[in-house]
Amino acid sequence: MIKISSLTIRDFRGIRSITLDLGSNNFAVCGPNGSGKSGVVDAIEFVLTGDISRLAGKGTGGLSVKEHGPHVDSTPEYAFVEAEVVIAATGKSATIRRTVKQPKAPTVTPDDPSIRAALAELAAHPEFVLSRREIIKFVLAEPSARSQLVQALLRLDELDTVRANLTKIANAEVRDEKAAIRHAADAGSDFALALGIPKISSAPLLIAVNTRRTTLGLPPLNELTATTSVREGLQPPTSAAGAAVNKTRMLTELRSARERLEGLATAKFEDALSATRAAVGTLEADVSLLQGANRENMLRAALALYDDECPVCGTEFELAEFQTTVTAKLAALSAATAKRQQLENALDPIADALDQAALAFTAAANWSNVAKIPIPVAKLAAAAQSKAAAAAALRKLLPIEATKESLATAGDISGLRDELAHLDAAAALLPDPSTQDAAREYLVIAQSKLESWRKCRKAEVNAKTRAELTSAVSATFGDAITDGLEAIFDAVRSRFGALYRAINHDDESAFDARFKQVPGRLALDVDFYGRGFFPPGAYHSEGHQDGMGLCLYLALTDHLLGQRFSIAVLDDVLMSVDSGHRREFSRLLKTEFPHTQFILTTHDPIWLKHMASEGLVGPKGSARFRKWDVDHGPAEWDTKNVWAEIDSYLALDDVPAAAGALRRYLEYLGEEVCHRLRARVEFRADAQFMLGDTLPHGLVALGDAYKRGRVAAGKWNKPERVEEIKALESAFVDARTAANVDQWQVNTAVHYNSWANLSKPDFIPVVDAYRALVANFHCGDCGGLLRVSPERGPKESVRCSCGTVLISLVEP
Amino acid sequence: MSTAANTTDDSDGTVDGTSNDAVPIVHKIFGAFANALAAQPDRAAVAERLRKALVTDGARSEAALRAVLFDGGDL
Repeated sequence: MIKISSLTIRDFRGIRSITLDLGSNNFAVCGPNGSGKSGVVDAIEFVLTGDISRLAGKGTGGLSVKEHGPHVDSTPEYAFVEAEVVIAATGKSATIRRTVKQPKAPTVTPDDPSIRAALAELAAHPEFVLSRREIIKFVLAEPSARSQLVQALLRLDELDTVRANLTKIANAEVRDEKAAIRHAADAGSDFALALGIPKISSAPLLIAVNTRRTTLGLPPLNELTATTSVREGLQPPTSAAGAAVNKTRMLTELRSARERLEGLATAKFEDALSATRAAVGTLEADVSLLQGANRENMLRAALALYDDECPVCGTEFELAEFQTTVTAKLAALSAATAKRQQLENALDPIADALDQAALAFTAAANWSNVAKIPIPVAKLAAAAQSKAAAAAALRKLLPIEATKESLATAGDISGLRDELAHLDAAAALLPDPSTQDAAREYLVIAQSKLESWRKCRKAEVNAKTRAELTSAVSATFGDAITDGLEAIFDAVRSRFGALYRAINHDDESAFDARFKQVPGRLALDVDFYGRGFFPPGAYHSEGHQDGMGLCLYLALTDHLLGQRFSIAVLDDVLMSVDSGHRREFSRLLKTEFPHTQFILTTHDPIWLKHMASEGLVGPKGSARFRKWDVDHGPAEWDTKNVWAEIDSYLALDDVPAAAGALRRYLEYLGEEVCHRLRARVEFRADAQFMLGDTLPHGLVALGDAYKRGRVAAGKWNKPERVEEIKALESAFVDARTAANVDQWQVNTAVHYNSWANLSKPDFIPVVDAYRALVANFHCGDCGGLLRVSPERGPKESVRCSCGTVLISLVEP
Repeated sequence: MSTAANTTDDSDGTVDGTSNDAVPIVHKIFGAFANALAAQPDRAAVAERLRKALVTDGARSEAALRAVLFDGGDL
């Protein structure tokens, strides 16, 4: 994974031109709202992935990288971001340049495959860039949304895709199995009816078949195997046997139709109808249950009809996301689901009986033209259609009205017996077959039914095997995911709790969290001061929730990547966290994630100081934006830049602008030097310090430091060092006197007001005086501000970043 | 574990809640799934086909998974 050494941004997202030297270390960008901080975040995301999250997703309709990536009056050709990066694992470095014109075609120099691979990985999972809005979702999202967020972060999306597809396959196979079982039962029932035996069983079957075979002079069969042909040895029929054959077949099919018809008239069937009518009535009477069943029905249909988009609203979904969403809704309808399954089990045998009757009635009705005068079979034909339709309605269950109507008419056989009797009478008029012809046709029909039954049985066995396999695979996969995720969430929970306790050790040292995951949902409950476990949004403050969000993100990413967790860009993520806990966060990020380059933005200079004082960012590890305008973009607090800006104003005779720039810079500098030199400043809870509140005390602190250093050097008997410090002290006193800065202690605003009214010739000496004064706070070599070390406790030295300035304050 | 020996997945098939090695978490879960399936009677062959399809070939679609499940000749 990648770390960023430097970042150059041109004409991009509100930034005209800026180069930031990150040095592959943690880096902070601080500035007031609207100063361009988020432009830096966008630039990092863009150069590493080619996308800008803020211009994509919900609520960003009409925005695009190509149109809105360039600065407002620039064009895609000129808008680019360039980053010098280092692969953390190998130390390889490269320059990545990406233009808005071709966001998906970065120039990588040298074009190293490992850099390209790292970029592809970041583009596939851009969760390394996060704002507070995104961070807080981890703790406040609904369980189903959290599940998706966490799975995306852990790169587990594919698990849901596979699970959804395996479930889909298993459900389809179970449906096919039920149909195959039904078809085999029908075929077996037809076979038994054709043979004239009560049920398919070897002994009565052989007796029935061998009786006919003996009539035909064929050897009897001793056993019925998988390949036995009951008509083995049978010769082709003679031409005179046609009418007789018809009679035998007709009688067989009429017998079957009558059996099915009488089956619908039995007390057992009527009892089944009564019981299911009562159950359907109960369902209908319970409005919520019925609505649940209807809703469940719609959701199941939606699952079946999914085709890259929701079949109801047309919203585009990934399959896994869609199934997760719908499955979560189905889970909430468990009562309706249980009722539905109970009813389906009761309705299945009724639907089977109706299907069988429909087939038998159709076969019987087909004999209507066997005589010269057509035999009326309208009721049989209509019954065949209505019974088939009723069976289909019962298998669907909903709409409930259709099921009720089907149950009401399922046992209706009125007029059918009469039509069957007419057909029987017509059959009786057909010439009787000889005993041999009857036996021959019996065996032919028996073999035909036997083959159908065998085929259906084979399909049933195959369907059962497939259903068992796919159900086992689906269940085993689900178990593997559950076990795997439980192990992961257990580890993450532990790490999350430890991180959160580290930043809240003052009052939540016993904090703990619990994850509960079921497919498509991930619930999170957290301990609230030992009073129980509640959702994070229940009782914890907004600041604590911010902290939880970041800790959970860090725990998840740490689990996923470990030492490969090389970069995270956090855009003002802790804005609700108080300053004390931000200090703890700074410490936490530094100590717990030493391999990660954090790039943080904040509008709060106090937190920036905390980052510096805790060592999270180094002396050069921050940029402070002081203002932004549409022509120039953000302007950094930089000594070189600010003097150039003042000079440019003076060149235009714009003294008020130059005076304003000088004042703002000195206000910034006053706070910085007081912080770094540990000056004594009157405390303000609102941290709103004016120039007179800070700079004079910074000057006193530096003067005291020189004095203490000189005395200490004398006591260490280092006369040369004493002279060196004396020279620094003298130059400092001269500059201080020239600037006449101490007057601020009398009236904090006088200089600002006065400067704005000065003429250019009068103001130039003021600028020169302060330029000389400010130089005393900086190292002449590295340009960094001097600071007292350490930051707390007895003061030991004054030093700069490069070591050129090092004045010991410790006496022997 | 013998059924897992011939695969390209260098995971041992267990999902270690604390490890961060180079094996993607999804592959670990795929490995654990294949091992659990292989331990069931008569499921070793399909388990190995699924392991290869999921870990090595990247099979994710319904059609691809159906092919792996049913085209192995053991049904």
